[in-house]
Amino acid sequence: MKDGSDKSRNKEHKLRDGTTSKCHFHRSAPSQVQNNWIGPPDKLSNIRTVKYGIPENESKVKKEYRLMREETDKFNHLFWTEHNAAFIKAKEIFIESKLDGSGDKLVDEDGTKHVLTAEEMAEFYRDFLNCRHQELKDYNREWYKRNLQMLWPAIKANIHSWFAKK
Amino acid sequence: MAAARHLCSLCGGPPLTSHAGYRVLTSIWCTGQHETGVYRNTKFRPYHSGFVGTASMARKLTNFYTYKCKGPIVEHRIRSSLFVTRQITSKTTTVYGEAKPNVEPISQTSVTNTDKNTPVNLSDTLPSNKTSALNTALVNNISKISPCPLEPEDGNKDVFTLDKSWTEQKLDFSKLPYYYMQLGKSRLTALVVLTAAGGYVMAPGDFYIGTLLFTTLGTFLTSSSANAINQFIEVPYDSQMARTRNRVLVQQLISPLHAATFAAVSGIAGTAILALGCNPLTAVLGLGNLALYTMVYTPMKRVSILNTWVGAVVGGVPPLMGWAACMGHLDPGAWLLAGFLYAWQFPHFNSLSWNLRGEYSRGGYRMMATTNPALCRRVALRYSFGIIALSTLAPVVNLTTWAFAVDSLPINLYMSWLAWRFYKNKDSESARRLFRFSLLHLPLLMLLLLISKKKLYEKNIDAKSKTV
Repeated sequence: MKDGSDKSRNKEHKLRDGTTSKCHFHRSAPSQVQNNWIGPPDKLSNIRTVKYGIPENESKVKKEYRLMREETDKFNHLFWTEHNAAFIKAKEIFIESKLDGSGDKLVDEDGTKHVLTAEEMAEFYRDFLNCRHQELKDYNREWYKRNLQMLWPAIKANIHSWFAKK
Repeated sequence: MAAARHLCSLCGGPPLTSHAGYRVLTSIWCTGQHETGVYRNTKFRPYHSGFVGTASMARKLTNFYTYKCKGPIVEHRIRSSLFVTRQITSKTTTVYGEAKPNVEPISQTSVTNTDKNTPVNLSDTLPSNKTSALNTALVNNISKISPCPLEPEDGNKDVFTLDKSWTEQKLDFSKLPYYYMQLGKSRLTALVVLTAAGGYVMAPGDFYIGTLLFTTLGTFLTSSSANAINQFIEVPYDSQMARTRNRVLVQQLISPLHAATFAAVSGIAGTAILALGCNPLTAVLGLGNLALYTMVYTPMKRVSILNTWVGAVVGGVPPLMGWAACMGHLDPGAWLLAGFLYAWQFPHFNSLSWNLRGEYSRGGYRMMATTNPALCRRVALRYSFGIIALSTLAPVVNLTTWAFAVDSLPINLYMSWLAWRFYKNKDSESARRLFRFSLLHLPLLMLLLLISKKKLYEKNIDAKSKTV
């Protein structure tokens, strides 16, 4: 099992290839580390994966906080993966439908690509926002709740570790 | 050979050595002829050195990819392109940007084609296998669209971007001041402090340097606190947008609790300084503004476009704070100053948000630029005119002399003209120009207000009449 020191040599991380559609969050090496390791932004969700360190004598308070953070990270990651994928797909559908309507092909004979003007894209941006309004609202409420709820466990965990050091 | 290095990585053809006119950098096919730009990652420096006249010109490449190059234009069939993304691989680096719908050649000399209106087809100049490779490359790039378009950097310098690999989370104490500055959005805070100090100085009360310092410090702390809270609650949203992706909390350079503690401490300290060093009214205004920004404006960004109006109010309160610190109460002059700031927010923010529409849409922000672009431009224009109107009111409320109404005209008219162009052209170039000038307009306006301050003038008159 790799430990934290291997990670410092192992700079090439799988997250960089961007070819997988699986949940990157679980792609990180499942090794036990002492400290937290921050990864690059995920290709699909843009959320940075964090591998939380599990020290040997982790107290209940600290464990609770760590699990809460992992849970929240996962929640964010899942939402944004789905949301960004929906955005990309909707954009492609929109572009194709617009180009079909005007009789142009996506790529012309001479190789020039037909693309839409900013005005036309504005229509897409507006519609997309309106379509996803409810999902975004729900996500936002949930995120605010989780974020604030994490504060008190964080304080407890920090106080605990501060006293433990002494 | 140097030229070989500059082959277009998309079609493999040689670059054009010269061309002229405004061109959208990133529309590689906007020429028809396979003059394509292949650009490096963050600097947007083209590989084709002949593509841009000089290295210094390349450095001046603006965020929104329009630039002026030297040499004759060869192609003038421009298709507007959608800002898709930049997908950096070792082979293909294509950049797409918003094109000006009507781009005209500036000069036309020594074109290989005789007729200037005959478009030069890509396939004429390329062998057929290259054309299909081009097609494939273009189509492939669409499918590889990443949700993280690489866009111009945030105003915060990229001093501590993490490597694209895993890094151990360790608080770097030496960088802590920088982290705090970024948390508090120091550049924005500096502008806020400037307006608050302006409010203090413009007030006709007695000038005490101590009170001014307290006002400045208190405003600085409360503003930093508000911005820190804002960043604390917007972490996942900030990670979506390229502009904000390098913020400390997104990169986890400090923990959320750390940021929240910083916000709490600076907020409490700032309010206390305002209450004790100035007066309770100032503190109430400061605290109220903090609450308005963090608890009304920030959540509202996801709910309704009215957030911009709320944000404009947030921007208008600091002069009130400064005035209240000096006078202990608010006068019409204070409200006029607040009015200036309120009106200024619209050309400033609307033009900024214009070029971020796609990202705002994906990030779930409800901004005028996304949901109602026409309104966005109209409002920016309207309030630019409003600033002119307010400037003529300044002498009426005894804030300034009539000289101000006159000498503020140049900057106000210029901003209105830029807003008009933005309204008419609807493109990223005019939006950017308006935004940039708005950053210059505000300090200039404050300076003009200061030098035309009425009391100063009256004091001089009194002094002169006494000596006569």
